[in-house]
Order: sequence, then structure tokens, then C-alpha cells
Amino acid sequence: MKILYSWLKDFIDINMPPEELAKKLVSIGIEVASVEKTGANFTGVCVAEIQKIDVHPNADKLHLVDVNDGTSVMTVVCGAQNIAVGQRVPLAKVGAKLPDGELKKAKIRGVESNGMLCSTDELKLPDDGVDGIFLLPKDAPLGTDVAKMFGEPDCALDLEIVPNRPDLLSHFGIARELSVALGLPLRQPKCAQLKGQGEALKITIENPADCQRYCGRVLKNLRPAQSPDWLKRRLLAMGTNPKNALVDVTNYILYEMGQPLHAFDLAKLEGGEINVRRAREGEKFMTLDNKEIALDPGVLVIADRNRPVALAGVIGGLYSGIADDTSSVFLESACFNPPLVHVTARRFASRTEASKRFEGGVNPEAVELACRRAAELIMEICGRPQEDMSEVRDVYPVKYAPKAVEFTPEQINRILGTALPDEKIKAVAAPLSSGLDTASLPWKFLVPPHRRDIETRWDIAEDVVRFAGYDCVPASDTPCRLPGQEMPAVVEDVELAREELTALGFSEVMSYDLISSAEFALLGGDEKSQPSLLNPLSDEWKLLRPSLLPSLLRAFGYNERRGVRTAMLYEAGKVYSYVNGHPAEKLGVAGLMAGSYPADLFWRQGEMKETGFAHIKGAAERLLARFPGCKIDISTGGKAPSFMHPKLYAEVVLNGKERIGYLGKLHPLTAKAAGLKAEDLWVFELSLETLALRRNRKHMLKVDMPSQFQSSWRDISVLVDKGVSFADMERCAAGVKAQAPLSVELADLYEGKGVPEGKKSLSLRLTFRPQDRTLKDAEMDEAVKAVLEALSGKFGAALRS
Amino acid sequence: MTPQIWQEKCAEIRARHGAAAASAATLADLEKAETDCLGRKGELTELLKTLKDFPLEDKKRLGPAGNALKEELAGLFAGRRDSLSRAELDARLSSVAEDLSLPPYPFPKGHRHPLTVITDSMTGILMRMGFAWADGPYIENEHHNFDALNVAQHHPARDMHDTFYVKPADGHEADERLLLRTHTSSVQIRYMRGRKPPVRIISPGRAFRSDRIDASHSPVFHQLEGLCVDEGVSLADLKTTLMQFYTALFRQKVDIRFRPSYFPFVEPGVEVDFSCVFCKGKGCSVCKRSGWVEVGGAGVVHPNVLKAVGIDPEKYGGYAFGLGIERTAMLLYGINDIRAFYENDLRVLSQF
Repeated sequence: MKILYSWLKDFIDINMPPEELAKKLVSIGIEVASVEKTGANFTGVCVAEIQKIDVHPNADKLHLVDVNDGTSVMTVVCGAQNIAVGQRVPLAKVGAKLPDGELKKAKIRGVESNGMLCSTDELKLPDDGVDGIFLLPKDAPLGTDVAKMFGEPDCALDLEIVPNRPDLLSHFGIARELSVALGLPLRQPKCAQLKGQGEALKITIENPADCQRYCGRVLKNLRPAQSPDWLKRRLLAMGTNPKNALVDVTNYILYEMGQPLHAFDLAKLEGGEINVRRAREGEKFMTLDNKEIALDPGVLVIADRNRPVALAGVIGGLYSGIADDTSSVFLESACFNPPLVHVTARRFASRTEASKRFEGGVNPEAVELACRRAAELIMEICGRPQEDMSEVRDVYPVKYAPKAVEFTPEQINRILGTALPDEKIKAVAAPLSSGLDTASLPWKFLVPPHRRDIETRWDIAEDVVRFAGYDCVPASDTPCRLPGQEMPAVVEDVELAREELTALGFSEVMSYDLISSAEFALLGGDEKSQPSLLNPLSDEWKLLRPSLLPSLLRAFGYNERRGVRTAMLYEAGKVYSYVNGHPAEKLGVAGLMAGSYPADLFWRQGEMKETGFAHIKGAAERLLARFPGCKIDISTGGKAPSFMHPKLYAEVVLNGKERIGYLGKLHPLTAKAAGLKAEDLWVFELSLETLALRRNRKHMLKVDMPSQFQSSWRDISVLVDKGVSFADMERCAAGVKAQAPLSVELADLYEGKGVPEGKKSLSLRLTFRPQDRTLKDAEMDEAVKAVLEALSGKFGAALRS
Repeated sequence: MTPQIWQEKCAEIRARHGAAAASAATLADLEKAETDCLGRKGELTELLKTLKDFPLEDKKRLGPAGNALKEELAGLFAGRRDSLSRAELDARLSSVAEDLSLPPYPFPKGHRHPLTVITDSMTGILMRMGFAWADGPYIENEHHNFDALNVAQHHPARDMHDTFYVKPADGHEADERLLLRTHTSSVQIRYMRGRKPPVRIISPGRAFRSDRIDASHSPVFHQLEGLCVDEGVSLADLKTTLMQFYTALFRQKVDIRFRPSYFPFVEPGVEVDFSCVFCKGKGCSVCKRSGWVEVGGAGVVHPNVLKAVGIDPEKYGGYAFGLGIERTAMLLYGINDIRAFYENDLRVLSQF
């Protein structure tokens, strides 16, 4: 909200620089977004005409300009490129006081300049959009003081008012707050309280809960007029364009007193009556901005005998609006129910300066004064006698009853942690109240009608500390009681995942929980069965993500477009779905690998590999191993979803029954649809929520002490059919009845020269370590033979010599 | 041979063969010199053999001396052998020519996201200060997000939070609208309900607002909520807590300033500023030349909030604060655009 410094002075005699005023406002909780000086903040600048332009003898880009100020011709040096002979321009003569300092005689590149032609920026006037010298109207009289053309210096402060203080949404409101803060007297808005004599309209309020007070006044035989300059200037400073005196005055009072007014064209009101009532079902209404809307009883309207003429507190109707030639008006000043106005304004997307104030709640006690002051201002401008004005018709069914809040100084100090003396609390609180009774405890604070926000002693504590200054709050050394140090288990699980994946070389990314339809489509599936936003910002952020995959692809894409080929990324975050019809969130973790391992570029070429299934499986298994009590199977051969490679795909199965994720290669078409260049992308995604739920939280590490006997190993190479799976062979070898090996490791896998077509050669390292002895050679031979027999029996494996 | 001549011979062998051992230039030379002296036919060996011809009296005297000399010379040859073989090994090792300035093995390096790093620091400090950790869902109802926090249905304060509403499944229109929580303050309600003070928690996490996206606004962002409710807790306790917190976070003495502000769930409500640690109050671009940096909102827990969760505001008081996590990271790490946190540019991430 804009506030003019000069306007404040109508109500309070402040005399401090605007910057200091801004500081004071901030200290009492009114944020100042900007302080903008307006008007002419300079002297010694006059209108002059350019008569001749020569090139500067010593500088190509400078000109020597002869200018005539009406009494003499002088030469000035000027660097601007937009000048031409015949233009009228602002000339600052030597000695002129400009916003940035006094102008002194100067030699510029060896030529004396007797003044300066000014730009809007140099004069700190509103930007004219021209690059260079400020061009004045052709008819500006030579020698005229330019400052006179732009009004008195003033200052506009842009304030941010918090929603619980609608009483500050006006110049008078700010002045009232400042009078407490500065201890200065406050002047009431000027009003002669003229009596009217003309005929008034009958006003009926259907339900007092909808409208606490309604004042109306009829003004007739008005001379259509424009507002005087001083009023226009003030409205312009508020960002409101002047229209005509009637409309302007209603706006003016809004900015001055915070009371929204509405003027109806009296001639258009039918039946000589005003009804404040709920709209009827299906009733139609044309707004001032020419939109037809259908109403229902949820909306409060102002109606004449036959139809609604305004949405109460929000916007007027086209039909009864004021035109430039309107000569009779009905002036409304009212106090409507805040939630009703709020709902109506939101519903018809028409938040106006008026609705903003009604939504917070206006001061019912000031409704009549605003009506009178506006009427008197209109009569003054339109120059009409009192006879053409009715008396104010004031319908005030439920009178404002002053509320008293009880408190003790000790309670205030307890809330704040302060030790303010009673006298101090009294001195601060008294001017804020309509009466403070401190005769006995508890004290009684009479809430003034404009402060609807004060309801309890906590509100009073806030005002006390606001005006006493927050510096009075000490740092306390009260010992605190410590409740238990609990931590949600799932926080630990996320930390486990982060720790493991970071150690493996994955970098963590964070993405919005929201994705687009296109991103959703990458995964396939029905968009309707996915939780989404009712009011998305844009189509890009519309659905709650069902998977972390689109987020990882987006993050990878961002980097790929910046030249990255190799990356290891992961995200731990929420994914969403409907569970029993309710949107539900679940914690997940997903990783992506692209490019080469261990790096994009490595001079020891032999050690560099393109990322493959083994990498992503290794990462997933390492992560899963962090969750004790979770038996994990990587199950292959299942049907891959359409976004994954049909063969290079496996599912992660928990404790033999629960599918908790997948891993493998992304389908190349998915990568393409995601706009990626890379075709080989390896991903895993796991339900951290399920792992967290199933893991054994009571698990305590018990060390398995190594046998004191040496382990021994043997390597064997066997030939098997290509289709035989290593996992099956491993299970078979480890399961032999006799002396089973402790581990079966794959030492080498070979196909090609020397191996028959359709076969593969596996070198297995069998390690044996009984707890009670070291195996003798003969026993080893026996054990290896048992393994070989098992393998050949089950897979037709042949020992390769 | 007289004992005297025998002894002179010993001295002569000691001098000559000792010198030969010391001067041998190669292991082969040394080998030969040692054989000449101590070998089966070596000079000293031969000399020692003559001992048997001396009378017992002389043998007793000369024998130990001769053995001592043998040991001494053997020691000299062994010492020389050690140094020659070490020199030879060194010479062989020195022939290795490898460019040690070559890039090392590129072990993949993982990085935690900057928001994780800052959250870890913040929660670490606060947990050492005795705050427990509480968690809450992102999808919330209006009760937890607004009503119980003293933000009434049609209060303009609801407009301060541009709320994302979540669509219910077809045929499951709920009585209460679901939304993405607009602040972490909803956790206050979830945690306090059904518990008795003392309550002392933090809750870091995501919040959502349908803000425009620009350098300082993101529809998804993170907050750290703090809440303490007990007998006699006041605004002054809040001040101390935040002062200690920021002093630990910035590893230097930090002052806290309150400015009046409005949040419906606290009364009095304040904006919290800390004294600018970047310019020590002299004025810089971070603090916009004011010497103070804004970090979040806070205040005394509103009695209506306590009532909503069944805690008696006459008996208990409390404070709450909500700190911007992105904002803190931006300040601490000199990041000037909030979007940087969600673009996931590896050139940024890899610095953490």
C-alpha cells in the first residue's frame, strides 16, 4: 500500500526525513518495501531552447550546444545523442541544486560549460522512457522554473500491511499508529458535520450478521466536475487514475480513512429503496467491467427494489455505475461481514481495494464519518448548496460494544520473558486502548473499535513489546526440561541410504514432487489414477510423481544438455499414489547411472568400462545390504514394464514375497521420449518405506569370529550351456551335501575361441573353511569332486582341462 | 713362528683385508676378497690353522684373539655386503621412470545435496541443544495446516499461503479438502496432540506454495520448524535459543533481533534477523547495508493453538520458529538463486 508523506501530515505533525520515518514504521511492524521521492527535488533548472549544435573540438561524442533561456544564450557541453535544434529542454545553470548535488562551473575536455542539460534520471523525475535529455513540451515558456512543472517534493512509501491489521490500510490509520509510536497528537479527518435536508432512500438490512452498519446519503443536482489538481495528484500517487469528482472522492476517502465507499447513479436506482440482502438463486448481475455473472444466496448484494446493483463490498454493477455526466448519486458507506466479502471476491476473482479492506474488517464506528466527509467533499468540489443533500440515513442494527481484555502486568512479563515495570506497561498500553483501567488487578483494556485483532492478553503483550521495543526482551538463561530424544525411524533409514549411495559415488539430487503429463506418460499408466493438484501453477507441475524416475531423468537431462555424459545420481524422496481412494505418500529411493565407470575419461583405458547391469545391480545390492533383517532376491525373468528394457530388467523381492522395486536398463524409447541423447541409462528404484517398515530395528551387530583354521580354495573351470544362470550354479554348488564350500566366486567368464558354440566357460573359486580343522588335500579333492558331480548332474557341466 | 710374529701377521691381515672389504666396489669383488681372507684356503683361515702348533699356554692367549679377528673381519665383509646390495637395489629402483603427475585413479565421488548438508548442520546443532525430531506428512488436511493453527476459514491470512489442493480420487470426495502443506507448522499440531508438555521438537521438511517461480521463490521449498512448550517458556527463551543456534551455525558470536510481524499461530509474532556475519554489521549486499539478515518467522505460541491440541494456555507457554532452509543455505554458501537447488547442476552439486 502506498502512503504519501504529505498526506500523513494532514493528520499528524511529523517532521522527520522519510528514511527515518521508514525505520520507525519497520520498528513497529510495518514493512517498508520502498521509499520513493516524487515531485521536483531540485532548484535552479529552467526551460531553454536549443539554438545550435556543434561538435566538441576535442571529443567526437560530445557536443557544444547553444541554449536560450529567454534572457540570454549560453554554451554548454552535452554528451546526449537525442538533441536537436528547436527542442525545449531542462537547463541546470551553474549553482543549481540537483538531487545529486550542486552544479559547479566545469571545463569538459578543454571547453568551459556554463550549465548542464538534464535527463529525467539526473532530476530524479519519473522515467520518460527516452535515452538522453528530457524533452519538454514545445510550448513550455522559456525561462520557466522546471521544478514548478512537477509539484512539491514529496515522498511515497510502499508499505506491506499484515492481514490482521486492516486498520492500517489508510493514511489516517498509519497516522494513528504513528501518533502512538511518536507520542504526537492526532487530528481527525476534516468534517463539518453538515446537516442535510433532501429526501433520503429507505435502507433495509435483511440480516444484521451480514452487514453490521449501513449509511447512505443522497446528493442531487450535482455539477459534473473533474477533481481539483491536489486530489488528482494524490490519487495518481496511489496508482489510481482520476475519473470524475464523484468516483475520485470515494477512492480518496478509501485511501484516506480506509473506509470503502460506493456511489450509485441515483437515477438508475428503482423504487427509492436500498436492500442489503442475499442474492436469489440464479439472479443475474452485470459487473462494472462488463461481465455477466449468475448469483446465488451465498452472495451478499446491494439491491434496489428490483435487482442487485452491487456485490456488497466487492464491485459495483454496470447498470447503476457513475458516468461523467451523473448529477445525482446515492453514496454508500458500510460495514460488511468480512468472510462473506472474502468468499465473494475470491469466487468472482475480483479482489479490489475495497474488498481487501472489508475482508479484514472495517471500523464500524467510522462508517458514518466517512460518509459525511465524502459527501461534504463532493459538495465542495461540485459547488452545490446544502439543500441538495439528504441527511445521512444510518442503519446500525447491532451497535459496536467495546470489548475489555483483562490482564496483569505480571502476565505480560511472563509471555515476553521481560521485567517491565508496571508503569512502563501502563504508559505503552494506555494510548492504544479506548481506556485502560489500572485501579485494581487485573487491569482492564478497552479495545478501540478499529482494533478487531486484539482479543487476548497475548495481543496486548505484542503491542507492549512492539512499542516498548524488542530490545527489552532479554536473553534468558531459564533451564529447560528435556523431553526424550526421539527421532522418527524413517529419518535414520533415509540417512542410511544417503550414506551408502554417497560412498558408492552417487550424487544426491532434489526435485519437485510435481511432474507434467509428459513426464507421467514416460512411465505409462492412466493419469486419472494418479493424485494431482486441483490448482496447479502450470501444466509442467501438475501431477504428484508416482516414481522418482522422471525426476532423475529431468536432473540427468539438465546436465546432459550441459555436456555431461557420465553421471551417477540418486534421489530419496516421496512418491504418491491413491490408496483406498486416498492420496498417499511413500518414501522411495532411486538411482541412475550413465556413461562410463569409473569416470568419463581415464587414461588407463583398460580399466574403463561402459556402465552395465553389473554396476546398477552392485549399487542396489550394496544399498539393500544396509537394512538388516531384509532378505533380498534379485529376481530375473519377470515381465518388464514398458519403460524398461524387456530383458535387462530385474525385480527386487523382499523376504521372498514382497516386490519392493526394480533395476535394469531404461528402455531406449523412454530415454528418447525424455529428450535425452543417452540411450544406455541404468536405473534402480526401491521403496524405502517398505524397507523401513520391514527391517529389523532391534538388530544388534554380533561379530562372527573367524575360524582359527586356514581356509583353502580351489579354482575349477567348467563348460556349461550358455543359458545356464550363474545364480543357479552358485546355489547348487553351495548346497552340496558333503563338505559344502563357504563361498563360490566367479573368477572368470569366457566365451569364444576354444569354447564350443553355444557354451560358456566359467572359472569358479571354491573356498572351504570348516570351523574345526583345515582340510587335507585328499579331503579337498573329495569336496571339489562333490561339487563337480552336482554341477554336471544338474547342468551337464564338464570340467574344462 | 713366535707368538709375536703370529700377532704381527694378524695385525697385517686385519689392515690389508679390512681395507679390501671397505674398498670392494662390487658384490663380486667383495666375494673374492672375502674368500681370500676367510675362505677355506683364505689367509686368516690358514693362519688360524697354525695355532695348533703353539704350546698350550700360547694357544690360550692367541686363540681368542684370532677368533675375535675372524668375527671382526666377517662383520666388515657383511657390512660392506649390505651397503653394496642396498646400493645395487637402489640403482635398480631408480631406473623406474613413471610420470607421477599423471591423473590419479578416478574413484567415483558422491555428493550430498546442499540442502541435505545444511539440514544436517542445522538439525545437528538443535538436537545437541535438546530438541527431538518430529515428522509429518506432506499431504495434509485443512485442520492441521490451517484451522488448528488459528488460521480461520475466511481469514485473509489464508491468502498469504497460496495453497496447492490435492484432487481426491473419483468417488472419494473427502469431507475435508486435502492440500500440500504450506508450512512445516502442521507438525506442531500432529506432535502436540495427545502429548503433555514439556514438548521440544524440530521438524525439518518440505513445504509447498503456489508461488511464482523466480530467484527467491520456489513452489517446493524446505523449512525447519521449532517448537518448545513448557511452564514458563517466554519470548526471551526463543531469543536465547536462536542466538545459540546461529552462533553455532556460523561459528561466531551472532546477535538476534526481533521485528514485529504477523503469523496467525503465534502472538506476539516476530521476524527474526541475525546480525550480519558477512560484514560484521558494516553493511554489505547480503544484509542490504542494514547489518541484519532476515531468516524466518517466530513467536510465542498462540493460546488458540494450545487450546486446539488440549494444552492449557494458562499453565503452559511456548515458542515456535520456522526457518527457511534454502534461505540459510543461500546465505551460508553464497548461492544467489533458489532454483539452483532444484536444477541439480553437477557443477554445483560436486562442490558439496
